[in-house]
Amino acid sequence: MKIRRFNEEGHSKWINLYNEIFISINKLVVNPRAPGDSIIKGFTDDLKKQVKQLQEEMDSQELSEEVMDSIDVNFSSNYENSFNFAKDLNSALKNCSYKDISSDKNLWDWVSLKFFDQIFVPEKMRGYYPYRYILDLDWRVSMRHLARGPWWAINSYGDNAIIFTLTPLYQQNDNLEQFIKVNHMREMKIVTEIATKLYYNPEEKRLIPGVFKVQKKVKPGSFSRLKDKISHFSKVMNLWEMDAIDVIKILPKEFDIYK
Amino acid sequence: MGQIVTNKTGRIKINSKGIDPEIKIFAKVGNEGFYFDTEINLDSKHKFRDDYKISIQPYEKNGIALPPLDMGTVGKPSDLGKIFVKDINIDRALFRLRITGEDRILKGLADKISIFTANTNKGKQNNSEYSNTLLPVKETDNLRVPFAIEMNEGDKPVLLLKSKLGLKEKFKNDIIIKTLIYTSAIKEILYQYLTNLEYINDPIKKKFIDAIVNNSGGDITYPEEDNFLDDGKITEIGHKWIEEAVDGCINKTVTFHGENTSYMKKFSEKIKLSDYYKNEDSDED
Repeated sequence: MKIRRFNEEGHSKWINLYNEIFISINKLVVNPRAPGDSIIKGFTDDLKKQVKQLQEEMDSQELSEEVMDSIDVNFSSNYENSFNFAKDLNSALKNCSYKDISSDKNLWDWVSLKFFDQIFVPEKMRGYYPYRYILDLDWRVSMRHLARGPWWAINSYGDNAIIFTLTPLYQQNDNLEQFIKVNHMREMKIVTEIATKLYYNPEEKRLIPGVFKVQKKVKPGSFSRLKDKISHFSKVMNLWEMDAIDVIKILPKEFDIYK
Repeated sequence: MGQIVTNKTGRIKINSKGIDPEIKIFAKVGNEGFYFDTEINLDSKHKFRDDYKISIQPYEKNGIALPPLDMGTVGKPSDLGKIFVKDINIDRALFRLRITGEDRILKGLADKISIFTANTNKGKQNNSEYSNTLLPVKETDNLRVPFAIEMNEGDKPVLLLKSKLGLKEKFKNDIIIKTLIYTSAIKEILYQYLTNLEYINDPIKKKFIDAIVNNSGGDITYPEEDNFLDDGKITEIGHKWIEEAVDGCINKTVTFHGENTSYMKKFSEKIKLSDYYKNEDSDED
């Protein structure tokens, strides 16, 4: 399959439909932090039918066009996590210029409808706000788009983005959001390499438990502490002249258990 | 509590703004990207050692950064010419200059360097010059209302926002707040300019109204002020002109959060859903 982008009509149909879905769910929700079964109930049979119908029509010339330079990729119908999903998206778009595609709402929202069955799973998810499915370029929420966010991480950090994308497709990754909001962390690719070397266990293919948890009492050597130390170093040193190993070496003792 | 930063290494701030910046970046749009040149002229008062290294780094506001490029040493600086940047839109491009000493210690820094244009830098020289910003924003404690307009003959009108409410940040990022305040502010300024005799010969008034007329894309022309007042009151023609002028401002294509859109279009998209956003930040999995 090649990636396409909506035209204005296709995009507007998708935005209107998702807004309807959002309103239908939201009117049942009392506490947005714990929507309970409101997502299941709010995503009515009629809305499911409308999504299916738009999915059937979305690849027509009337609603979308192929992205120039997009590569044919066999996408899975059942991704285990956002890492694998984003890798395939990145492969499909590898010949496209970052500048041309990174803020292309028509492209990313086409992807979100295409993979809607995997990124919108009412029985399992708790978030349902539009920015997850309709790209909002406001910097506070732009990475919450469930297709664009993981793609951005893989495109920027390669395999080291694994620490931000081991979540199911329907779940936003808080680590990614915490990370990318800090300029010097987001910009310096070696920081993801450092975090991956410290906090990812390749044998067990999982993150070291507890290191990303935000707690009142900050855990020594945790990701929060790494953020503090990188912030400190970046004000004093030119980290761009260093590689990940150099930086790991100068981290204080509290990080030794992860080195 | 925010992080407290001390400057134990004596890092110096390099001047990149104003009349005589120490670094200038010139850029030109090219095929599928842009080209930039540099002009460095470090002030000797910094007393940097000759062997300190200089680098310049292009980056994108709220986005990616490219690897820093070598610009020689303080003793032998070398300007860069025709460096091609593919992945950053010229409208969102900023630069960072670093002076690095022994052991990679940062000795000097200039951040958020914009591409040099005669207009923007001239604006810094003299506040009364008219720059590209139609409505400068200032926070103040001295307000009992959320916002107000400060107008003085010969000065640009300034939008005052009540401080300590986070309004400046919201005005910048929240399209609903921005559109409502902006609409009201432009209307207020135009009423003042067109009805208050104090501004009859104000040169800034002409520049402000010219900018508004340009925003309208030809839908309105410079007002014939004689038709605007009748017995000290604004006429129907005056009201209509102001409405059309404000319409032009908020429907003009602008770049908002990296997107080419208009304030009115974004406002319309957001306001439909705003009632439903009970707690935006609580949308966690």
